Amino acid sequence: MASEDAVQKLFNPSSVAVIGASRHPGKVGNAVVKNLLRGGYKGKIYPVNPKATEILGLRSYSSIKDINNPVDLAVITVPNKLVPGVMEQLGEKKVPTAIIISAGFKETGGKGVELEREVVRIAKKHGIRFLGPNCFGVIDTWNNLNTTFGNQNPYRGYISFISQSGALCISILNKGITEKIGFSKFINLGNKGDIDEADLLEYLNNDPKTKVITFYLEDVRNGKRFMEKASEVIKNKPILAIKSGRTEEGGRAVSSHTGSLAGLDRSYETAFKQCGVIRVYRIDELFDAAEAFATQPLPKDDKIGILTNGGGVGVLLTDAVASLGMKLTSFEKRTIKELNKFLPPFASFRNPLDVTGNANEQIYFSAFKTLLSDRNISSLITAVLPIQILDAKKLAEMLGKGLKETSKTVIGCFMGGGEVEEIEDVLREYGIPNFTEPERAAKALSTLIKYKSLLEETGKGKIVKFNVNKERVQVILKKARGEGRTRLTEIEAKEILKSYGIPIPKYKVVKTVEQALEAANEIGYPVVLKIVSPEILHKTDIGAVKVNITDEKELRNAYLQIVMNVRKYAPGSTIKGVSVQEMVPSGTEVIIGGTMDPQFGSLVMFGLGGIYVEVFKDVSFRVVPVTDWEASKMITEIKGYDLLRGVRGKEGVDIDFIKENILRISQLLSDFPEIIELDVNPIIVYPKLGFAVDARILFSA
Amino acid sequence: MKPQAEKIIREVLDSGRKNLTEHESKELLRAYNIPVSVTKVAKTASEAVKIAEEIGYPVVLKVLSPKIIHKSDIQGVQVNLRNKGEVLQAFKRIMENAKLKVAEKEIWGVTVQKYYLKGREAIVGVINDPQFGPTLMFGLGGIFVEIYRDVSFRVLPVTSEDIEEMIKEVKGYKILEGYRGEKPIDFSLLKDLLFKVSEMALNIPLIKEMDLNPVALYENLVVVLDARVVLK
Repeated sequence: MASEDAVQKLFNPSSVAVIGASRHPGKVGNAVVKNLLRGGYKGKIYPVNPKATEILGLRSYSSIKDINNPVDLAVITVPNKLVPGVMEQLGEKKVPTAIIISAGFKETGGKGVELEREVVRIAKKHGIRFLGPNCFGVIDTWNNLNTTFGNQNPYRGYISFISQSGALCISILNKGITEKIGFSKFINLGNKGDIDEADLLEYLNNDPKTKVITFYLEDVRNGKRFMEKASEVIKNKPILAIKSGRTEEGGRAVSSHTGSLAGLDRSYETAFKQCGVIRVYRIDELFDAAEAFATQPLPKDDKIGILTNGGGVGVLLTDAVASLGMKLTSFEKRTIKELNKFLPPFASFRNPLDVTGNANEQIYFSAFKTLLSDRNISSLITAVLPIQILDAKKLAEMLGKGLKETSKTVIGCFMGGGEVEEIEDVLREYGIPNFTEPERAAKALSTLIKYKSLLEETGKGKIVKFNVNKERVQVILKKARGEGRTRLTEIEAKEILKSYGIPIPKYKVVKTVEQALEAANEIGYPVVLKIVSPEILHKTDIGAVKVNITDEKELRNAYLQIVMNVRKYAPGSTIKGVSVQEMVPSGTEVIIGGTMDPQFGSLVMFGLGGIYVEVFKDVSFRVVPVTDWEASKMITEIKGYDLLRGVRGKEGVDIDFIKENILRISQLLSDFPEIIELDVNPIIVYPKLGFAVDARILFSA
Repeated sequence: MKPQAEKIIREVLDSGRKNLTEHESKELLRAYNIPVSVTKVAKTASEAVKIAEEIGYPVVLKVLSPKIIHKSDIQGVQVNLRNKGEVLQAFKRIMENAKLKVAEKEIWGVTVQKYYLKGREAIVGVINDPQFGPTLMFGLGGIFVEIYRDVSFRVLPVTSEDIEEMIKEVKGYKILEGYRGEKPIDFSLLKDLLFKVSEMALNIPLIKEMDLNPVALYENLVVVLDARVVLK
């Protein structure tokens, strides 16, 4: 069986065996059988328990071998130590798919890690695909399948939820029932011993009953594969993700700017952005947006109308919409003319439209229809405050029916307490998501619009391949490796950049003052002197760099001072010489860097150089290789972009030059994954072209 | 209001203006013991040289005109002038540039002041908020305020604790503390300056807004290099 087909058996098996089924209420093995029965599962259920003959009215088998018919899915609830043996039996029985609910594996460390490895090995041997271990199971509302040990079934709908945490699964399940959120698939990943996020994305992409995929993640198992699958999926349906563990991982030893700015979470932020996964930060936001996706069409663009029967809510909505970067559109003339026919003259005829507290449900509904027929409006937030003269429940019914005549996006904001629940039931029937807080309504709508713009961006840009001298880089790395080093000197690093077509200032490495003088004459004053040593990372800090040397006398002095400073402050370092470099004119400093992420591979970074990168952390990242489109976005998305573009009479810098060098460094990083840290800092950029003035590279041995 | 301040303000209002020139703004600050770079007015090139020689080279020349607020934008500022020749040339250039923008009678000459080495810079401002009255602003100068909007505000009056918080609240604070081996700036002088500015703003309710930008910050010196005051 193809392994994708095996994944599919998680959701629509024609038979399920529960290994470790139990007669005793309160046991996991009992709850799973009970849930399968209660959910109305149509296939065969085979409880397996060596001591029982009947469980919950079903015939029980003492071993899986005793089941005569084929088994599509095995749910394993036996103690951890018995799991490897069970997996062997499944192999013999040719069961393609398993859910290992049992805990006591990788999550416990030590012996558990070994036990999990053993389970993975056996599964591989037999070609079994499995979910877990240490997981809560799977629910598919459309197949009436519930393999969990939870106590309720969720409402049926089009949201699929994949959670790394089992406990969160249970609480979302309960919350979902209270709030009547409709789910399609409900999946707990557990330890991800085999089936992971990417496998499930692949499956859900083709699942017609899933309109939106939501995630709670703590990490991803294979970053590149996740990105690849997600990029495919988002062409068909949105992916929303909460990724926890946002705070900086402490104590990570990094020696480059790029490394220290990257952090663990930054790579997720970057990767999600790059493959179109919409990251959200709160559980309510996750399901608010998911409900909107599951029920409403995508808006055509970001032009929003707001309808309200109270001024205050109108202002709150306006603020929320603006702070989320969306636009309130202005009405067409004929809209205003139409509104004038039935609204009192003191109503506001601008967006947000306030029909005032004098409007009954008939007047409100007329305004609703009028706004939806306005060609400037692509989506409408419809806010309703509970007042005496307006029958909100009746209005909800009218709005729902009115929806049939439009393909525009409508988000409800019926506010108030207890009685709203009844109104929401009506709205839900017609597929209008309702939020009792204006900010939540605006946020949900903004997520729809964000996805719409993501869709428009997919496929933009291409990966540019430059002609480079790869062999030269291999030679430099090989030589350094041969000397037992993992750090390159500035000169070696710059030679690598040069091999990839990145311009560097003229330079010469010398061993004596006389040679330095000769080199300076050749290059032309003013020059810069720098020590060449693989051990000295921050050359400036120990006075091993002298700039703006204008004549012979200054050069002699500078040379002596550098040698003395190195002897004094960095005794014992290997000195490969002193480099005499062309002093390039000052300009705008930027940084381009690279760092290696354990999940996603090399990341390229861009930011303003010097103090700005360190104080404001105003940088952008992408997983390599980046497209030309992404390289442009890396530049425009930093706050300091205005400075690069030129502000207040100052001339801007050569943005195309920066873009090209981001792409060249991206190519370098993807060609050489052994480069684990790279800082080109600064690159001095002029209105036309520029230079990489300093560079550091750290590579793995 | 201090008599000296009253005199400056009356003169400005009498001439039908609301905007004080840099020179007038600095004189106003001086009346409240706020350290400003000495600025003298020269109407001719030779006067500029004379002043430069009095205060010592290098100097800065800036156009003096009530019609020109953003002097740099019209190339009306020339810095690091090291000798007579450079001052003469700079004067000529500034006049030419200014005449392209405003009528000749609106150009009063140039101001001559000492050139301070480029170091850390702050912006200190006051705006008179219609609801809350005079409000003090602090931030690091240049790109910090222009691009990153890295500033802090307090409604006046302020305590010395408020001032301390204002300074620490901006992200650029790290730069003031000393960055990569640099020494910290003199924080007590900076706090003193902020305090005096707030006193001044409370003392002259006629001030609509003022900008001290830049305020040069050194290890042992804090000095206002440019200032503009607008009256209600």
